[in-house]
Amino acid sequence: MAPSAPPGRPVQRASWQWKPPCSPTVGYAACSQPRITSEAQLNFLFLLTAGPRSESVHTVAALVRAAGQAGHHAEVFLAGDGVAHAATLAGAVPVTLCDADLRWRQTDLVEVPGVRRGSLRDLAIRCRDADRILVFR
Amino acid sequence: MADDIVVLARSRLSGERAALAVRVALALPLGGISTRLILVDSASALGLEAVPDLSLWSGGLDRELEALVTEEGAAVLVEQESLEELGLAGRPLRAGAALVGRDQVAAFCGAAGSCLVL
Repeated sequence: MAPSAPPGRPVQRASWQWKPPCSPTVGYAACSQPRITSEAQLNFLFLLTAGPRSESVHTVAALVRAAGQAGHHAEVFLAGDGVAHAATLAGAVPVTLCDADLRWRQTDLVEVPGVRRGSLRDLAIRCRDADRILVFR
Repeated sequence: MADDIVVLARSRLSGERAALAVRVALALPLGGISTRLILVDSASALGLEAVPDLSLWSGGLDRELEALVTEEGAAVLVEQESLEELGLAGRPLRAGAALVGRDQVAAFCGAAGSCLVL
């Protein structure tokens, strides 16, 4: 039996309803924007050695994006099977790959704009200059 | 800025990753970085005098490991527990390699500027 309103007053229906903080149509990345800080700017180096059959490249791409949004500098070095991701990451972040590892895998080398072909010596220099090094294998 | 880096090699000898770890350890001193290569898990077999020749990668690392010790002056450490788990604890180590315990491995990784797990 529905509650009856007092005479002269309309029935008040509850208009509030719970809404999840992140609706399914909005991706997690949109809900978890990095906090912008104006404190120290860090140099991140991502060393990616995982091959094509891995989700590491997506993680690296998301972390690179987040680092950039937070005002940090990020760079990616591709070695081993990771050289396969050159085209995926090119343009979003400075990318250097190990030329020896690329030549081991590919005889028909194609230049990818925005990707520098270097050596592990370049990795050493980038490691020296990096504040944080993250390896994805 | 990382002045000292630990490269923690822990992959199987049948793949490329352990070899990549050795190559990275060999390259880091070129950037002026003090490097320490620690071999754990399956990669600990690389610290033996006679490395099992399981693949193209594991068989061709003698020159790199020797250069790492003699030319770069890097420390090559082998985890005792890993060798025991592989049943290789009694085998002689390669020249320049030293045996360390698991707690020491953790201490070296914690004290380093960066630790690259490969």
